[in-house]
Amino acid sequence: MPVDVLSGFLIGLSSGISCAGVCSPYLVPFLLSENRDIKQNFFIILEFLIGRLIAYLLMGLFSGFIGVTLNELIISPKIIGAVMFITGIMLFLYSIGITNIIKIHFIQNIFIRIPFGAGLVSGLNICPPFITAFTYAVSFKNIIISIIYFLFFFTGTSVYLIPFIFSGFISKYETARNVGKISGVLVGLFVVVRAILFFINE
Amino acid sequence: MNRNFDLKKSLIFSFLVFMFFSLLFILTEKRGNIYLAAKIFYSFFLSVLFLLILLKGKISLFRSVLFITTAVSFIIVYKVKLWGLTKNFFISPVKNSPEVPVCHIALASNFAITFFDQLKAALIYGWTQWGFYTIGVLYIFSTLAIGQAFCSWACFYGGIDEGFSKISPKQIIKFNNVPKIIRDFPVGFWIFLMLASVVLFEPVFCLWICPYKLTTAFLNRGGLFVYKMQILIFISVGIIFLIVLPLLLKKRTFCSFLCPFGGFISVAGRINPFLVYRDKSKCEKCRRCIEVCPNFAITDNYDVTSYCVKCGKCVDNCEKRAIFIGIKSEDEKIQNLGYIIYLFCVFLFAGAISSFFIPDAIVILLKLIIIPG
Repeated sequence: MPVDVLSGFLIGLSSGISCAGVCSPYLVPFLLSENRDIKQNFFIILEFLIGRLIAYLLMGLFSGFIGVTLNELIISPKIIGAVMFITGIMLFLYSIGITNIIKIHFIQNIFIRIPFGAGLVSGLNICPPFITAFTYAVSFKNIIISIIYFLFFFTGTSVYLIPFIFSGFISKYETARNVGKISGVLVGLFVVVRAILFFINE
Repeated sequence: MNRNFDLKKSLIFSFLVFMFFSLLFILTEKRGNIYLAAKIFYSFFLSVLFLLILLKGKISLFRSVLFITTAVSFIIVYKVKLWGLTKNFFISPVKNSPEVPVCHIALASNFAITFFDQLKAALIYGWTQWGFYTIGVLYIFSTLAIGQAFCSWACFYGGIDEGFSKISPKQIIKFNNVPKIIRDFPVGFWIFLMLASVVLFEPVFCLWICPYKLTTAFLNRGGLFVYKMQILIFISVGIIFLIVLPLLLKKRTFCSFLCPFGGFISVAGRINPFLVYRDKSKCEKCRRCIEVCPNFAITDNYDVTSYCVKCGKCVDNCEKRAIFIGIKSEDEKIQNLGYIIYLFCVFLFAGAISSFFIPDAIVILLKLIIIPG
């Protein structure tokens, strides 16, 4: 059993490049759009990873529950769609500089938490490595082991997000910040459209 | 810097260009005498253009002739192929495309998935099958050899909006400068397209935005409705960015504001040694260079940005000869040497790319004229 649980790390490590591809649209625009140093970017990625960790732990809990009860407990696509929609709108508003327009402390605080929300959404993103991990976790038929399995899966996939910390090197240039804002607006719209399609297709 | 060469030197240099291409085509053309004859004629056409550039000291005018001819020839060649394969001349059929050329815009916007696909192919079939090597080497060679000049010399689509920008004799709407964030849009757009193509695992720009797909063929991911939507978007983007805006502004608006390859090369091209630069002591700040620049690449402070595609238009139009193209140096000898090296590099590269289209278009037109008669 310990070897099986550890395989979560290996699956994460082997499929992490595609995970980084799925996560980067949420992360890159945010990292580039403001002049931050490496330390500040580190905390943004940390917050993003916490969001992702919570999503993965929830998935571990659900997969373990399914394994134990053999009931089909599937998270409603509406919830995933709604989270995607809100994150897309927030990323869009952040990128057009809403926090500079509306200088209300409470609203600014909400937008500061975007990396956490983005991490949560990217953790809920259903991609092939995620389905593999989920299927594996169900087979344990034990909630605690399933959660630990997802914890290892999270660790394996997160390795590929570390290089994003160094994007702080280029965000000091005005062009890079403009690029971050432009891609943030486009990614925000893209996520909103995907969320709407999610509801339509559901 | 001396841009005008005497007749003797000009003839020698243009003869070298003629000999280079003629020998290349004699050694490589295997499709028959008519194609070889067309390629020899094409080599002569190139050498005449090169001669005129050297003699007159004007780069952009004769570059435009080659550039626009390439775009027109590209359309002729691919439309004829489309007709031959599908009996449909204007647009590709609903059920998928017969042939889509290896396109630099597609490769830039889908860089991540191209890399991933090629890597998978290499892992399954072995490293010798890794096509990415070829594309990667071509990219590196192109960037090192000519950098951003690819967009004004070798892009086989670029002649379309350049052609429309030349129709009107005067700029109908005076619009020569844009805010930096708008000029940076192609880079942000390129980054977004790369990310989106990874998430959806499909070429987003080629499927949904690129108006140049009307010149060749395109993939259809759905039924008739999706197909009609694609055509509607391609036509709308094409009319706005390739026809109307270039006509009104006398600028290359698709290349300046939308092209993802433009975004990519403005970043990667910075490593290229050739530059357009200004002698501040000679410059009288007349704004002529800002007005004629087709790519909004010169700022109000007369700084030449990395969006400059080295077309030579500002160089040709500067009455005080304060703008240079080539290798930046205070020494006039190095300036002159840099200028001629630059011309050879861009001309040989553009000539090689255009050789895939212009000679074939000549043969197609000859067959159309002669065979029916």
